[in-house]
Amino acid sequence: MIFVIKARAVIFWILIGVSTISHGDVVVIVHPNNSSVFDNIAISQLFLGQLSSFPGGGKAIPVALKRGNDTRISFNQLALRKSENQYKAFWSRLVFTGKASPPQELENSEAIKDLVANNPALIGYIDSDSADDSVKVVGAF
Amino acid sequence: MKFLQFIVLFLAFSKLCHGDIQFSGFASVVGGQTISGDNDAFLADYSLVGVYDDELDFQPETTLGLQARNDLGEGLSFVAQWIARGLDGFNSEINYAYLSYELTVNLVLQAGRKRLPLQYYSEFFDVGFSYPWIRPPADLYTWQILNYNGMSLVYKSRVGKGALNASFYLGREESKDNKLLSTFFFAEPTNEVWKNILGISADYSVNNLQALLSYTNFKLDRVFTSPSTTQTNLSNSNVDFVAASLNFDNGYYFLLSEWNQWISARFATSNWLVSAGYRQGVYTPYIAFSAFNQDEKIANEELEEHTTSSLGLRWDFHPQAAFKVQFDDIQDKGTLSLVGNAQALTFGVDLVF
Repeated sequence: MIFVIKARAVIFWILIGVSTISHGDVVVIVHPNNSSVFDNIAISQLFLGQLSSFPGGGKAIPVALKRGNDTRISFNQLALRKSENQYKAFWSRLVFTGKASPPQELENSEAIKDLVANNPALIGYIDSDSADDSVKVVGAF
Repeated sequence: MKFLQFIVLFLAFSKLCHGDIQFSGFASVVGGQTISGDNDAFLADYSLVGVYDDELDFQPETTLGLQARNDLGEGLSFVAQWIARGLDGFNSEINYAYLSYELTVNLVLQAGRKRLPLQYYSEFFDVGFSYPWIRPPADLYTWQILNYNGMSLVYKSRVGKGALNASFYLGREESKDNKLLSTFFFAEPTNEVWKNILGISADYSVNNLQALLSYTNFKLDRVFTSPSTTQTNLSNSNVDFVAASLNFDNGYYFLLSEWNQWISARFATSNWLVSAGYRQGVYTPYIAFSAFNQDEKIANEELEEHTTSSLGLRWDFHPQAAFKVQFDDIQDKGTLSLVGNAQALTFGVDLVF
């Protein structure tokens, strides 16, 4: 009986795990020399133009993936709590008051990783499978 | 400048300059009419006197904006926005044009022609795509001056868990034959000057909450240029304007609110707005209630008082475009009757590009 319950629990956790992975894991990356400590709110504030410097100081420039990319959809939903339209509507307030420009948009995770690995001012998000030692992971969604 | 000529020049210019110049724009194509009311008139936009009557009209609120931004590097950038409105026969005018220079990573100095940030929606009032309604409720956005020439200092920083955006601004604006005052309120040619404008505004966001507080002080000169005028000129009249907004938005539900107050020697008013909505996928039904209340203790003439109850739907049918339809019920309760009670239906498409 106990065994059956345990087996059910294992199956349950496997299913949860699978569903989390199929959502597309996103990691937030910075240059390896970036020593700032990040929380999820700070990450969201940087990608929404509310902050322009890292929590530990220094100019911060966010880079994003292009519209339609699954990793972008997951990041916007989980980290920013915004659909594509809400993201566009939010940024249109900053763009059409001249206050800020939205993050530069790149084709894929590899392109973002290559840029971030070479520029300490950048912060980006990529598919977790694309992360390696060339960048520092500071958040996951 | 005629709009077509302007478009041609703009396109030619965008072809010539490539590289660092970013071009973008927005448009709202809005139509509407009154359904019933005392005078079959719905004053949808006070500042520019956008009025609907009992026949379908696309002129009062249709707007197009084009923007060019140039990042010159090393913290220096320039941005300009042209706007063309159905109300002005689509003659384009500069909505803003200013230089920004990053003094530090958190501090930016700006100078040029800007929108005056009196209240929460003041600076992006024309960008319909950025908010749920057809327009920010008219009862709160009734002012005769929208811009100023001057400078501002903008500070962004993390305070606690939240993000603080504060700005300090100063400048002046002169409006000859001011549209709202000349064609609507006084029916006489009126020159309006807001001088020694000095203001501070602070916006704090954390998680799903955002709060904005702003205070603006200026001296007002008002000159009636017609020789047969029955109105009295104003000179150096002090005005204090305060605004506060508190917004909640968790991505699904939102609750938006604003309160503002204008206090001057002969006119004082306090106005408020509450709006709520729910996003169900691409559909966002919403309601809004707003009120304009003139303070009777200061008035020596008739009182202006009106409320608006609104019900609407935003449909995000495209990632960069939304269709909206809105019903408004305006109750004109003051002894100074503006346009009378009215019920109106407006609809349109807002897009950004």
